[in-house]
Parts: sequence; structure tokens; C-alpha cells
Amino acid sequence: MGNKSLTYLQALKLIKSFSNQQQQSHSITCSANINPLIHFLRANMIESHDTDLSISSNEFGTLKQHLISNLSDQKDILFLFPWDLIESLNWRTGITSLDERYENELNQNFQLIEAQSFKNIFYFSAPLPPIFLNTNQKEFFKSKLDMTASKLGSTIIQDGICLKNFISSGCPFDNLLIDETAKKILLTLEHKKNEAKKIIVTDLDETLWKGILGEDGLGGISAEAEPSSHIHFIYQGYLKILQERGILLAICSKNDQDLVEKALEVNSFVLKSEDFVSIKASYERKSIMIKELSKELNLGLEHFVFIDDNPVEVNEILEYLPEVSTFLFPKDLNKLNKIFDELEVKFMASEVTKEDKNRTKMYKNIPQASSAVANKIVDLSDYLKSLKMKVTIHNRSGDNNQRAIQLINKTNQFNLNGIRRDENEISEIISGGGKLYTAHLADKNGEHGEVVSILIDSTNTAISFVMSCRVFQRDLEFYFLNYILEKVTPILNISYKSTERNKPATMFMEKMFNSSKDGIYELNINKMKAFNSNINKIFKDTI
Amino acid sequence: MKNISALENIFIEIFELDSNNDLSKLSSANHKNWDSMMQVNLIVAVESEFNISIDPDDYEMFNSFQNILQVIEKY
Repeated sequence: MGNKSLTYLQALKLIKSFSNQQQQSHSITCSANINPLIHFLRANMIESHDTDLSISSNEFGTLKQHLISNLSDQKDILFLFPWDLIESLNWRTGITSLDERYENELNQNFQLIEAQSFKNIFYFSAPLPPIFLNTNQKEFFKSKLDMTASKLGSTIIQDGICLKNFISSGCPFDNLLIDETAKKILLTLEHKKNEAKKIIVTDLDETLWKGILGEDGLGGISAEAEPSSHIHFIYQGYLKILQERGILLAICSKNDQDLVEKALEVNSFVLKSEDFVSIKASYERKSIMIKELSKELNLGLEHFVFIDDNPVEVNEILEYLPEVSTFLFPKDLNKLNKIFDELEVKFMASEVTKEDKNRTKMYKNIPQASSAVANKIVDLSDYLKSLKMKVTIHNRSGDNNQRAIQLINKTNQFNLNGIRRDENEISEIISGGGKLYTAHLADKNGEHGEVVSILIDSTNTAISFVMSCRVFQRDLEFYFLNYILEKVTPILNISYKSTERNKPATMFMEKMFNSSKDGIYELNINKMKAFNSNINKIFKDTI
Repeated sequence: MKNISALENIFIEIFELDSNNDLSKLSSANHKNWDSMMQVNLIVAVESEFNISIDPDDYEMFNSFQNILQVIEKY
């Protein structure tokens, strides 16, 4: 924003000579005549951003009608003056003594305004009329009004009001300061749009703590002041400080909700579950979970920061929710400290009030209208294609099967029956006519290694079928099965048994067979093709 | 002289006139767009352009080019 002050004529000339088509729309709701100010807002926007503003506003003196009848469909910008909160403070209606029921009036107006959730509120702390017993009472009133305004989330503007203008034209701005006022308003709008982050959404496994909850179990995760998990310990401490400063914390993790809650309960971490405004643990896409969260909290995506150790998740958010600021959780504390510095700038934008400090509690009281995220059909094929995934299928029936066996014994979540098998047992099954296959995955972000393992016995039954949680929701399981049916056996029986931790496997069964009862299910190539004919388009070649 | 041309500039911008018009005879009586809203804009323009604060007593003088010029001369 230019520092030099514009005169009214300069403002008009800038608007007149502006030829660029670029335009931003805003609607301002207020009780005053703001026509002159609009010219200054437009001119400054043109000067600083080469963009004109199209500003609509309600008729002079119709604020209350707008608020009560909920007329303003666009809840964009609200300008507030002291007399909008308590009517006896209006200089235009003359000096009248303060109505005793002013507290009621103030509360009612507060609720009325709060209910409409305007994106931006500006409170002009105009001079109060001489209706108070003494200066103390006047000061008390002024701060009470300022506080009410700040509770509404307003930006408070102290100077620039001219009573003379307000009385004569209804436009309350001082004509010598009006350009400055316009610049302040635009700066705030811009600042709010870009900088003011309000919520951190964090991943859990290898981010909030060391370890993978679904695999390593409740006792297998840590975030202690010990070398191995120290970075997570520091990270939690930092989040706790942000939370105390009024920044919201939320969890977004591919996990089981109850297991996550239990993990937070039984581990004595710095952060407890009550520190989070929302815990989203499911096997849904993270972009969908964050969108849900934004809706539930009524908080725009531009206020979100997302931190995850998995580059695929980070890229997904970058691609689908570009308004969200994303950070890849590093393994190196030096790098984490750099992220802290960047976050500091993003969160410093808003001053912290007492209300901010209670924000987590406040938001927790928002009714959770839409917590059901399951069964949402989203076409991800474009995204998955963009990952340029490359699968290599290995026959591990001979040697070199360490990773295949490890996967079967380590995987809990996408594990079709949860049965552990040692090397001897697997060797026996193979020598009796069984087969062991794995899939190796790479994508544009790098290598994932061997992440799928299947053990098929002599009756063509997949007695073990597991996939690492690192590669969920990429349709890799379908691609892999398709390969097995095309190249290994045209009919495959799948042994499924629900366990305490294999919800992702249950979801797979429901998708594939519309059932998740324990038992043996038959799969053949036709069924697979009917289920997903596009699967081969998503992945590159196989070897 | 300086005041006259500055005021002419204001009129040209606010009433969207071209500089060939004889502005000195303009008044609220002979210009259809000269309503109370325009009067407010004229006051804003004069205050901000001349860096003065007009006495409300003088607001009613904002009804013709000549009268406004007279007001400006006072400050």
C-alpha cells in the first residue's frame, strides 16, 4: 500500500483512468453514509493492487433492519459505531440520558451481530456523547464497547471520525483522515486474507509422535524427552504454547478414532485430547477431512495450517486445498525450528485476547452437525494419475522374501485376517504349492518400497493379504489383485476375519464384496473388471 | 487564480464535465445532478484538496461555483 496520502480528486482520477478489468467484490453493511470512503477504498486498491473494488452497501440508516431481518445475504464486511451497539450514544438523535436497560440492549445487539458471522468487522471507536456521570464512567463505557467489539472479532479503529461530518451528511469520516482510514481497512482485509492463520491441523504417526499407532500399538508410540522421540516432544510443546495463545489445534490422521483417543489418554503426552478442538481419525482422504473441519468450525480454509510427515498427504492438500498452508514435518530439529519461525509469522498476525485463549472451549461447543464422513464418493482418479505411480510386482515364492514376511507380521490395519505367520509356516505353505507375491511402489515423490504382500495357498486362497498404511487410498490393492487374477490365478479366494484393528480391511471388503462378515470370498477376473475397469490407467507399467 | 483552477478541477471530476465548459456559472439550480449527495462529495473534495475543515455554517454556500469559491477564500 502506498504511503502517500491521496486527496479526493486524486482518488476519483485513479478510478476514472483505471482500465484493467480486474475487480474484487465486497459488500459493506453499516448504518452510516460511506460513499466518500468507497472512493478512497477503490482508489487505494487500484493503486496498490491494480484491481478495482466493486462495493455494495445497504441504504443509509438501515443497519438494524438488515441485521434483524437477516437481509444481507453476503456476510462480508460490517462497519460498527458505538451508537449501533447502544442507541443513546448517537449524536444525531441528540443528547439523551443513558437508558437504564443499556446492558440488555448491548447484549441483544451483540448476539444479533454474532449470529450473522460476518467475515470482517470494523469498529470505529467514535467519541461518546457527554451523558456520563464522570470521566471514569465514560472511560468504563468506552472500554466496555471496545471489548464487546473485540469479542465480535472486530478490528478496532480509534481515529478518523468527524462528528461534524456525521451530523451534516451522515458520513462520519474526517475528510483529512479518510484516506488513512481506507488504507487501514484495506491493509486489515489483506492481512486477514493472507496471514491470519487460526488453526493447525496435525498428523499423528511420525509427526505428533514417533511410531505408527495402528501398527506399533498404544505402547509403541512416544513423544518423550529422549533422543529417539525428542523432535516430537518439542513439537507437542510448541503446539501447546500456540493453543494457550488461542490457536486451535486439530488432528487429521488415517487411524481408528477410538484408538487415537485411547492413545492420547494412556500416554502422558504434553498434549491431551481436550487440547484439540477436533480429532478426525478415519481412512477418508485428508482433504475431505479438512474440508469437513472447516465447515464444522465455520472457519475458512485460508485460516488452516496443515502439518504431516508424508509428502503424499502434503501434496494432496496443496493440490486440492491450495488455500491451506502446508508443512512437511521434518526429521531434523534444525529444519523443524525453521518451520516454527515461519509459523510464528503466520500466527502473529492477530493479537491475542482473553477470548482467544478460550477459543478451543468455545469452538468445542459448536454442535457437530456433520461428523459422518464415511461413504462419500469422490473421484480421485485424476489426482492418483498425477502421482505417476509405478508398481513392480515381485514373485517372492523363492528367496528374498524377508520384507514379504515382515509385512504379514507387522501390518495391523490393512490386514484381511490379522493372522501372524512365521517363516517356517510360510515356507511350508509355499513348498505345498503356495505362492508369495509383493508389490513395490514408487511415485513422483520417491520410493515406498515393498508395501503389499499376499500369501496364496495351494487351494488358491489368499490366507494373508496385507498392505502398508503408508499407501492407503491409492487403489493399489485393486491394481495388485487385478494383476494376481490376470497373471497368477484367475480365481482367488479371500480369507477375511475382522480384528480389533483392521478397519481399513473391513472397508475394502465392503467396497469389494458389499459384506464384511468373516469368511471366504471368491474373486474372479470378471468381478474385478466390473468393479474397476479404470484401474490400469492410474498406474504406470509393471514388471 | 490558483483557487479557481483547483475548484474547476474538482467540478470537472465530480460532475464529470470537460474543461471547455464554463464552470463559473454552475449552480445547484442549473445542474440536474447537483443534489445533496453531490453536495457532500463537493465538501469532501474541497476539504481534502485544500486541506481545510469547512465550518458547517458554510455548508449552505455549497450551492454554486461562485459561492464555494467565496467560502474557500475565507480559509
